[in-house]
Amino acid sequence: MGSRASLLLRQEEIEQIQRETGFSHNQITRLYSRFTSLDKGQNGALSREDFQRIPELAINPLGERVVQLFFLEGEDEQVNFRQYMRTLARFRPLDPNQKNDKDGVNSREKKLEFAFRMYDLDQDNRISREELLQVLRMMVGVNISEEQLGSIADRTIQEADTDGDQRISFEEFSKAMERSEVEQKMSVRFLD
Amino acid sequence: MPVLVPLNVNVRSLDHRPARKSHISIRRCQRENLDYLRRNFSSLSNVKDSDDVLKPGASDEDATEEEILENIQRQKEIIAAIRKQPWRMKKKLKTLKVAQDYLEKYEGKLSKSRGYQEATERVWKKIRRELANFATFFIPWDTRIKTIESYFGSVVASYFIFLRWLFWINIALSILMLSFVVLPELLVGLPYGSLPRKAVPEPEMHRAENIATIWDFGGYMKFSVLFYGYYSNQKSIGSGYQLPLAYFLTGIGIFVYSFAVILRKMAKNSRMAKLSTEDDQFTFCWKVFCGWDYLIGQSDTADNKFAAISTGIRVSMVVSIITMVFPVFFDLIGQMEKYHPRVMLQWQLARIMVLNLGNLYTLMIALFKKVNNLNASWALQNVTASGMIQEILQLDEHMLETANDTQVVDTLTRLAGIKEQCWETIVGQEMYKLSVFDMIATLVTTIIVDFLRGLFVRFANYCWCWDLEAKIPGYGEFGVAENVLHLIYNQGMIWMGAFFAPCLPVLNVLKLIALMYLRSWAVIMCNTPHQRVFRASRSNNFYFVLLLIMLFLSMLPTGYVMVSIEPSRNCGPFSGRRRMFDIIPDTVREQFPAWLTTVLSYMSTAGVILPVFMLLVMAIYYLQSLVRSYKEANNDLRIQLQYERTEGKKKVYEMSAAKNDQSDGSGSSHVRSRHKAQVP
Repeated sequence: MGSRASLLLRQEEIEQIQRETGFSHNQITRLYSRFTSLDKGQNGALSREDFQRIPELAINPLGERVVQLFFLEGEDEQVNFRQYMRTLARFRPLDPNQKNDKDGVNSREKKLEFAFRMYDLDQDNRISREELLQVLRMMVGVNISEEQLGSIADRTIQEADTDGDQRISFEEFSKAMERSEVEQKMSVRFLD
Repeated sequence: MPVLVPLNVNVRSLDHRPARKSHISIRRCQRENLDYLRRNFSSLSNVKDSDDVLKPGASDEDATEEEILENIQRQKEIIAAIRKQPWRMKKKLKTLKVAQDYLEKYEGKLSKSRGYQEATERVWKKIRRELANFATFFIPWDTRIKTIESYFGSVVASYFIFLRWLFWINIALSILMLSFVVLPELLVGLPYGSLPRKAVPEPEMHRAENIATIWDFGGYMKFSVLFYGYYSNQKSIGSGYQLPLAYFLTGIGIFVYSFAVILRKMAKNSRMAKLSTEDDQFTFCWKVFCGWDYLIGQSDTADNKFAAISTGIRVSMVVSIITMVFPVFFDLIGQMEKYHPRVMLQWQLARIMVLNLGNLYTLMIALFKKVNNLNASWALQNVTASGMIQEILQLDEHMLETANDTQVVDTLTRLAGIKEQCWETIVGQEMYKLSVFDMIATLVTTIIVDFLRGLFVRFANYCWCWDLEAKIPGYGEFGVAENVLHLIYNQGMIWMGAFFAPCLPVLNVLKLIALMYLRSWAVIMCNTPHQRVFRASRSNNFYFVLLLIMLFLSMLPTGYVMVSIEPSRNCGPFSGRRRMFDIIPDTVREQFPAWLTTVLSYMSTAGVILPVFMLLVMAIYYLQSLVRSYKEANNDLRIQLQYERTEGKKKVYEMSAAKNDQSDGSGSSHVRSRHKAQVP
């Protein structure tokens, strides 16, 4: 699995990525081979269609949101390998001695930020009631009526909101997700 | 680091812009590769000092080892890839030599064991993962249960999971019984017909193959390994396998194993329940933000998950809407609606449990009455038999000299034509019949009540005055309570009967398989999800507590039989003894050193048993008080946490309210209006 793709990487670039993201050399080559297999157009960058071809994303009701987060990093509608790696860096598993490190690119805070941005549609650092409604509509479709969705959104905001502005900020979101095992769930497990 | 570039692929810079395409000439590629190799690996003399070979910044011994390992890997890759390069032989050989030199130098540096260790660890991890993946293939009925769970909720699915767990227990019990009791008897025991107890007696021969007899588990089935009566009481069969002892110990082993397994499961469940805290703080947040399973890759699984999310959200909604809508009667109704269905369910379960137990115990009492009658009639017959025996004795003295007691009685009774009764076999037969009838009854009830009702509601709806589907009778709902209790009652039957009918667990395995398919088909075909949904209780120990009670109660009759009632004289592995339990002291006396017998007899005196009993009682009391104190501490902490949270929220609200009042007209409200305009 390593030999074909790793042939196209240069040592200096791998080292740069390693410094930036913390992945090991093997992991970078594995991710590069994944990148090239997704890149059907063979032009060294991924477009939205390339992402949507992934079956798990295609049937995921929030798939578009996930894809959107890859495109936040760069301009135009392409994601090159560097940007790809920068986004994936969030999903690197925490090192055992990294428990309390807040600054790492894959720290718990950064992972939560990634999740937060999935729901914050207009990127204003707040999840409002309308954004929640949109997300809920994506998740449950037409199975539940509009009023019920509205009351779910209200209830959710009421649970998490502590400063009374009827929107969920990033701190409130982190507090709500305090007990969830974000470090384990939002990590890619490498098979080596 | 493999930098060997195939000639027909363009090298891309990683930060490139898509518009440009850059080509690099062939010669430049080769030059770069060789330069890289030469730069990093040619000067072997200063390899130790320079940082070029190894990863930059690595000076620690451990880190260096890691890097060295990686480099070694890469060198191996280079060596593998050299062959494919379209170079001259000389170049290839040079590159190869460089790589090999590096390997020679550095592979020797690292301890060989470390290298092997890494390699074996990798291989071992891979094997383990493959095995784990493979093992999930064997979990039976997984898809079925997941489908049911996503459409009906986790309460209904818990019934099926419980059924599957019982299935595994029964398989274990069958294996126990089969390997220690049935197979030895089949393989090495005396075959059919060699003893009177092993052959269909003359009077019954003519109807041995009637359907009625087979239905009754009589005829050839009665005199087979299926029943207690078939086993002979020879001390050892084959090459020294002591069957009666094995039979007794397996009988006890079944109960011990069941106890152990249930207790272990209960402990695991309560540990998990304790870990997840009881607070309902962020239920909605969790459901909204963490609801989707990102590992789903199939579209029909996605549909199931969709349905599951909707069901889950609806559940939380019902619970919370009731508590939101009636603020006046908040506490009362909140309590009622949150706990009432669950409490109701528990009461229902308890009531049905008592009824079923009464059923089973009535059966036991009836059987015991029958046994007593048999013994009485046997005593009567004994008198007549002894008269006949006197006559026969005068006929044939020679026979007496060459046979032992049991054989004599066997032959004589056969001659006299007296029917011998084997009450244990009768008990076993009753158990089998009960099991089979229960299965048939379940099948018939399911078909009539659920299936026909469903058909009626569906098709008669077209020509009926009122809406059959929405109002009465409607589609049935899956009654979790009754079904769970049915399973537990079934299992209790098996435990009661396993001692008298060794193959009963096997029959139960088949029954459970059939039950699983029947019920899962019925629930998907004929049932609708519950109208009133309630959260399943967090610890699923309730079913297991009931099962434990049932196990204990099933053990009592068998225990009583083992220590008090005289076994039949003419059948079974304990015939001829005063009590079944007597086999243990007899074995100890005969096969173990003498001092063990004295020790055991001391241990069973009151002088030892009473203190042990007192000790156990004290230990139980102590542990109980420990548990109580932990619960109290837990409660206190939780109340404190709650208090801090609500106080904290109040304070923050007040602060932000004050802030809003101050910055009126600018700041927050402006932000809010701008925000509203942007969101579609």
